[in-house]
Amino acid sequence: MNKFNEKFPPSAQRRLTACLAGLAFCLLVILLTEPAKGAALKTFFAGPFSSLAAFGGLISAATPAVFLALGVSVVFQCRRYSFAVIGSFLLSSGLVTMFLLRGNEKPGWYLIPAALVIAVAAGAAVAVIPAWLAVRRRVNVTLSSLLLNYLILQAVSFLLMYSMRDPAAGQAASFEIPQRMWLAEIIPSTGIRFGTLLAAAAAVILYLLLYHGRLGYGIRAVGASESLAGYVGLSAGAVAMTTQLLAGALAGLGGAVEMMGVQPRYIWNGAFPAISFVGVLAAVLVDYNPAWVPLSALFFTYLWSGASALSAQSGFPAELALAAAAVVVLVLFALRDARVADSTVRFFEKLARGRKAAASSADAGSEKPAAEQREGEVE
Amino acid sequence: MEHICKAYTEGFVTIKDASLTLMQGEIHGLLGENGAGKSTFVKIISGLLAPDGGTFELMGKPVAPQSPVEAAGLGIVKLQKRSGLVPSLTVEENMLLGRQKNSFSPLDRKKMRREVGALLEEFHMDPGPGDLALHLTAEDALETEVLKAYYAGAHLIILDEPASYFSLAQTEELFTLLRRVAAKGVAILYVSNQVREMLELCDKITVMEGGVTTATLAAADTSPQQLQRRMVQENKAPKVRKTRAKLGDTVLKVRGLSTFGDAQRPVLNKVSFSVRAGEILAVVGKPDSGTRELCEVVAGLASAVAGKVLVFDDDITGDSVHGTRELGVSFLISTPQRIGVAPALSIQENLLPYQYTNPAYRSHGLLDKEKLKAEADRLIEEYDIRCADAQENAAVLSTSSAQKLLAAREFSNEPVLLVAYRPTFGTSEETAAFLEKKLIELRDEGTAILLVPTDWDEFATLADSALVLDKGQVSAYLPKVQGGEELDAYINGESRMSAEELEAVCFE
Repeated sequence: MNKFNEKFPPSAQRRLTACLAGLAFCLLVILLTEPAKGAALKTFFAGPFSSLAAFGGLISAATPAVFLALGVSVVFQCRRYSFAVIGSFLLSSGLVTMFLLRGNEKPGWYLIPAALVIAVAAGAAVAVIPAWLAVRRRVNVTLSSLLLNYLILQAVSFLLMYSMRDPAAGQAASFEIPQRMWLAEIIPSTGIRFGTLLAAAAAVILYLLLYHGRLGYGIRAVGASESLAGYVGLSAGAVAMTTQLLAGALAGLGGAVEMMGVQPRYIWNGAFPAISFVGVLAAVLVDYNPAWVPLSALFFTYLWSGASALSAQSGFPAELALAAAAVVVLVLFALRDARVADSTVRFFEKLARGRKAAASSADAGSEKPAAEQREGEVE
Repeated sequence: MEHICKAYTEGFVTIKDASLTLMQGEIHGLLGENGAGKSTFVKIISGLLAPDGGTFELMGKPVAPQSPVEAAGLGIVKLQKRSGLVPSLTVEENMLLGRQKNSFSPLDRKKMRREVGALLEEFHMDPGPGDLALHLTAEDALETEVLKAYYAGAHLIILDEPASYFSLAQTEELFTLLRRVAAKGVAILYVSNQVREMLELCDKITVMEGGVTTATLAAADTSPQQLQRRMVQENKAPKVRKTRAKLGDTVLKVRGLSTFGDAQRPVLNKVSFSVRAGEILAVVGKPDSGTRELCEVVAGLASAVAGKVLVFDDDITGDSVHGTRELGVSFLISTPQRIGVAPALSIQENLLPYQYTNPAYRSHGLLDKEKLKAEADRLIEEYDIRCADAQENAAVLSTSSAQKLLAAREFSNEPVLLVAYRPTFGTSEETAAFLEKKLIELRDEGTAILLVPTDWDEFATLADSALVLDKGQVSAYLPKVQGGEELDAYINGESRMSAEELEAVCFE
């Protein structure tokens, strides 16, 4: 392995290339289809950086997705491909909305902690169902969690329609949650609330748990080889249950954070597709490493909010973000193929070489053939 | 094939200068110590790795397969260590798989069926054409794969240490099949570290050492000693000797243990015995006599129908592995999948599962990474696990190193009881001698050891006392093993000790 790869590992090269490909895709689509190219590009790419409030809005919007992506990270590291975290998120955001709207006359110091507790409990309760079915009845956890998500979506929609709906709102949305029930703003006039702090703390804690903790070792060991885990006396079932409970609780917390200041109404069509998409992909992009999840969630939220802003401005479909996210993940997976990766590495090397050459013409003898780097690429 | 060079640094094995010439219809052995580069060399031939230099000719034409698929197209088939059959298809369907030119071209299934049936008959295969692949034994599956490769028109079939997990009778069947296939003009490259297998099967043997092929000999002109010498340049490890056992308290008590197998047929039938601290009790018997099940039940990997297993008078009969491990029971039970090593985890993570869960290896509530690394490095050094770094994935380990890793993990845990099922299986003689020495050290430190010996040499070297199982029942007990005892009659079920004699083993 050469110096370049040491400083900038191939996995990071892959991630960066994939992100750039996603951005390039958006650029291309906008250039080819939008009549007002300049304005559209500005809205899409520069929008979140136009003001402090806009940037704060981006961070705030990414916060719930961070919780979801953290949940996905732990269950996927345990190789339990459960999507129950999405259901956890949905149910908890629905229940929290209902709880807050009903408890209108109660004081904030009671409502906010109680809502967080409800969210965690609801999230964990959802995740435990497919986990239990898998341990006890050997039901495929992916299948059962996806089916469960639809059940929950319908159930929460029912609650929305019959007990929370604001008839004055143009779409199927709940009444607005009063501001006094929102989480406290930690940086004034940015919209960045206490939830962001929680998300950052959760990322750090999960990172330590997974890579520096006993439970994390168990999670990764069960994920890597269930037979090894059985052989050394780790109970795969117990580890899988704990992992999924933890993930569900995190996603539930994300649901509460979403409702308490990010998205003050529960909107039928709002939370589900965007957040779940961002949550899962953000985890996939960084190989389920919690330390990088916030950055990754921020990137996908950036795509999503750019597309939403563009859609509000000119009616361009916001699904552009979903397509771009798909491009990101496809490129990422393609790069895992050694041959594709090889040419990419060469590209980056050339890039680095070009910069180095511009800075100084000395120290040019350190390059090594690309074939050797491939050794490090193989996973 | 001449002078293949490969700088293959990742897996800690480098091929420097390897050459091989194979004739049609020849069974050629590739012999070498573990880590000599045999597997890497074979991976190059089968297109899995690219060589850095050298030439490769097939039937007089230079070829350079870039992938296993391409190699298969050229007629070079390497059989995987794990079965490559589709479990949910029948033997016949597996044989037909991949025969159509593209996904849509029709198959003449009737004709093919006839062909496959005739083929199975011609080669005297045990499985029928309609048997599901998942019901096949490992040996039958391998034989089916050999035949499939032949049916697909392979010129060269490569087998990489296929017999590691088979009993002798089963290798006999495999060898007969290989000879028949070779007689049809197919070249066979047989990779192994077992001198005896080589001499029995192969026409020619190429010896490999440190990534270099050192010699090619005709099997008829050589002797086991000569081959062994060529395989390891330095002298063989001195024969392991043990002192007299200093017996302590009774650690393990098994009373009236019974288990059932798949077909509701008793596998163990009222087995009773005891093992004392500082004693190696060897359990011997035919492969189906229940030795393996006995080990699994004591370890907590399998459950019993009746009877009791006690460790220091703690009843562990119903306990899972977690429970038995808590009490200080270690076990080393090798299986075809080598379940004890996870290739996706690092060597350190594979080596230290008990330390990872031990509070002594934590600081401020988090794992003490430096202490863990120091311990991993110490064990890697002590057990001579060949790797560049403890953080590498365990996938890079050679077979012997993986076995040494398992031993290091299980032995270093200060066990009160060690269950060792054929602990040196598939390893080179050097590694086997090393592991035997470690087992004796462990015994001298006062660990009770329940051993199912890998072979008779190991029995003679290690056993303090012996128990013979026949069809799940205890048929003999020898309180002292001098070596060279005649146990065949007991093993084959021709004679059996009296109840009083057998009760002598059930001391409290």
